[in-house]
Amino acid sequence: MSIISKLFGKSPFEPLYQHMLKVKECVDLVRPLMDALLKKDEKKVKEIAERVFKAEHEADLVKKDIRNHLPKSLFLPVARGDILRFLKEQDSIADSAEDLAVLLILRKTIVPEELKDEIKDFVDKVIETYEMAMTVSSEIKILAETSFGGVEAHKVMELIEQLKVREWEADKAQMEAAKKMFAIEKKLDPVDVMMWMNIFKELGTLANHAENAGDRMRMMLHNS
Amino acid sequence: MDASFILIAAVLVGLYSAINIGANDVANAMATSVASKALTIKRAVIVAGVCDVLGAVLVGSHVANTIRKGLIDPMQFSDKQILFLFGMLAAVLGSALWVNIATFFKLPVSTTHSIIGGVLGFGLVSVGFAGIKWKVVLYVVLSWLVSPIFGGIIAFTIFSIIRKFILSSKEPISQTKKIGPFFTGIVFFILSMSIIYKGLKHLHLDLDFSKSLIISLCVGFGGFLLGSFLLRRYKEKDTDPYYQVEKMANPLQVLSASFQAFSHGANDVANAIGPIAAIVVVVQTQKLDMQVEIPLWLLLIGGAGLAFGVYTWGYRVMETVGKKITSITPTRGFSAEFGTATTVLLCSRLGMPVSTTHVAVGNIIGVGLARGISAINLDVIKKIFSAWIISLPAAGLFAVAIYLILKFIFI
Repeated sequence: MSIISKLFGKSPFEPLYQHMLKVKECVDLVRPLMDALLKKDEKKVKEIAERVFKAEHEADLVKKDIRNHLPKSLFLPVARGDILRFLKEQDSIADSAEDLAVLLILRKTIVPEELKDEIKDFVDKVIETYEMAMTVSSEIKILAETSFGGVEAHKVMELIEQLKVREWEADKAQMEAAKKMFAIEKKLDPVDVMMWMNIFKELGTLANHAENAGDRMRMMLHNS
Repeated sequence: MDASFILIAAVLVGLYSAINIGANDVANAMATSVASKALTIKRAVIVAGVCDVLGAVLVGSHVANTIRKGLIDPMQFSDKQILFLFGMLAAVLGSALWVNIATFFKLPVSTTHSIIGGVLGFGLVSVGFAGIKWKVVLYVVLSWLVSPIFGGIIAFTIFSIIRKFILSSKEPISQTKKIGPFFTGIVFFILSMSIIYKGLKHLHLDLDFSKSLIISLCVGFGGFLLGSFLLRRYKEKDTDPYYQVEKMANPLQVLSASFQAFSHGANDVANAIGPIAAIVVVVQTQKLDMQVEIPLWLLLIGGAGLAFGVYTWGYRVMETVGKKITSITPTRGFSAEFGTATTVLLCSRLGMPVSTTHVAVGNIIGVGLARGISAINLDVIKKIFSAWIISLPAAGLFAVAIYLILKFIFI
């Protein structure tokens, strides 16, 4: 009715924050999932995997809702494409967690005793990477308030630098775990080896998407 | 026809129109303040009512003069005064009816464009194409195009200053305390200049430029001190600094909302009583000479009508509008309202009738361009153009119809 009320569109920034919370719900389950696998608790692995699937689906619903409310005619303080690319990366973090859960319920995969420490360390580094990405994402509402610039933007840029360092640490841990596995390859079942390579790959991808989300956030920031 | 009968009818029609405008238009003026929670709806209604009346009485005569004698020269009716009276009556009644109907059908409508359409419609039908002062009409149309852009530039500048010097800084709260008083000072300065420079004729206080400037600078400085005092009292807390900056900006937005309501009264009261003023002068002096000032009581009635409209129907409109808008904060609201009020007041002083709503839209887009607003629907601009294109002829047609009916019945 009033032109003024029609002028204001639905802000995407609160929904982006909510999407981050949904992704967090999903990826928070990765550590319990891997712990259950290391403890050889097949039943628990299946149960947590189901919860991961549900959380990933809920994140998808928020993502769809955001996409539905970003028409081309909407004018935003950051580029619409940048928002959509950031959203895609953040959503891919949850997707990787889901793909990991799928791998774990396809078959009963044995954890070699010798690899337990390297695997635990790798999982820790991946979790740290994703937690840093969540910290970066959670600043989005304050960034909207300060128009994606100024002191707040510089603070977020520094957080993104730390995120990059953590992803590199996760990469190193991935390499260590894979090297150790090939060092004892003669003792392992070949299908287990193939499976573990896939699991390592998926964990690595999760950390990658976390870093990419930080990069996409970086593209939305202004220097002033 | 008995002159006093026409006078009473005219005043009643003017009142009806003013109430209409108050009910529909003022919600747009107060929308940003209600949405940002700087004002509750109850307070918004009171602020709008009081400031609209003040604006109408203190600055309203300039635009009213343009409408009563600037578009059509009344002297053309010297041998047929009654037609002029009927025409002015028809213009107001026609435009008020159009505003009512358009609002009922949820069409975008501008009260300013409607009254101009009404007056021009009557003019074309009575004295024809040659009888209209097209140069003035051209200036008015130009002001419709220029005012939203001009306001948008001001709003862009104000918010850019707020963004660069407050929101981007290391110490946003202390920066607000430093910069806020400048904003209050400028608002007071502009208000003062617009009221006293060659104004206040009813108090016989026609001041020239240098005197008005000196007084306004003092008033502005007073505003600076007031802002300084109010902001200095704020004690910094442990919560999010940006949330606190917005809280500190609350009183600033109350000031700018009042400023905007004032400018709305100054510009839009003429939409209701501009033509009525012409009728009143003709009936009271028996002449078409428009040198006589617009009577104060008429401006008061117009302002009171606006206030009444706000208080009754306008209350509900503001509730709806305030609920729909979710992403505006006091800093943004202040920037937009400052720009709108300054532009509308400047146009009022120049005697240019502009659409407060359209200027407000231009200002909000200006703040958006400075990266202040989360999401703006740019296709609303199309609705603005359609409001222009529809309101002028529609109101004109209504006015022509009523004028011809009155002519037929009474002559």
